[in-house]
Amino acid sequence: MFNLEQAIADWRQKMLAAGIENPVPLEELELHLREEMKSQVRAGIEAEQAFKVAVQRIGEARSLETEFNKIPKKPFGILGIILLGGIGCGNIAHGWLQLMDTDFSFAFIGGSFTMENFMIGPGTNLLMGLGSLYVGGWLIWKATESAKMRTIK
Amino acid sequence: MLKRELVAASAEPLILSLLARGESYGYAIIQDIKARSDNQMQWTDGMLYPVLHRLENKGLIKARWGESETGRKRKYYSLKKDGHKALAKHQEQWSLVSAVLAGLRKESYV
Repeated sequence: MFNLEQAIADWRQKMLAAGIENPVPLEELELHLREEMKSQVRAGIEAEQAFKVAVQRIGEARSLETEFNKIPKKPFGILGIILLGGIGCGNIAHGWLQLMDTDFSFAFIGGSFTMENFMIGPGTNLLMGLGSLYVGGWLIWKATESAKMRTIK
Repeated sequence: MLKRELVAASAEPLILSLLARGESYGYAIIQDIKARSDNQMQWTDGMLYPVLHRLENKGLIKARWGESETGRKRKYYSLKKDGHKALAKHQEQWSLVSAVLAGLRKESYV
């Protein structure tokens, strides 16, 4: 007996294995698959056959992934990482200079956002710096993982 | 049946033209193009989505998640201001190609 949900789950696995990212593109492709299948069934085709036709019309996972890979990435992602890295290093440098009891004017070399008119303590600075670096690092890790997924074919 | 290369080249202006008529979603866009071309333009359905995402990344169209009549979620696309400008440019270029072809065809009959 044909199980549509199982068939869709298997199809999703194939798409994921080929590197189609979850959730947005895959979600959209699945919605398209369901609509196409519904239209086939309405035209009198049996469910299992309708599913096969719909899968065929959607296209092969690898070809789709190749097309998705051609989409240029938004430069904001890279700029965001650089910005977070800058804030992180700046805050750590500022915090460290505060701990060392150094003149604050030096702290601005690090590009920290903390200015004398809304000065915060060294602990907060260090925490903010580490937090920014953590988020920046996480973004880099996500980008690397996604690139790896695309290379494993 | 139209050649694959021509189908690919015309994808962007066709999508922009359809969206200029109003908001739409992937499945409806494909069906509309198939119907308008009398099934002469055959796309691999999935190939529409990378084009839509590229247009979205370029800032020519925007997307929003909505609901279908049956309550299932659906991603709707619509044209942005820059999309209208890009469409005008495409129309100008395709008209030029069409005019040159028409001119050459006319000459060959003289």
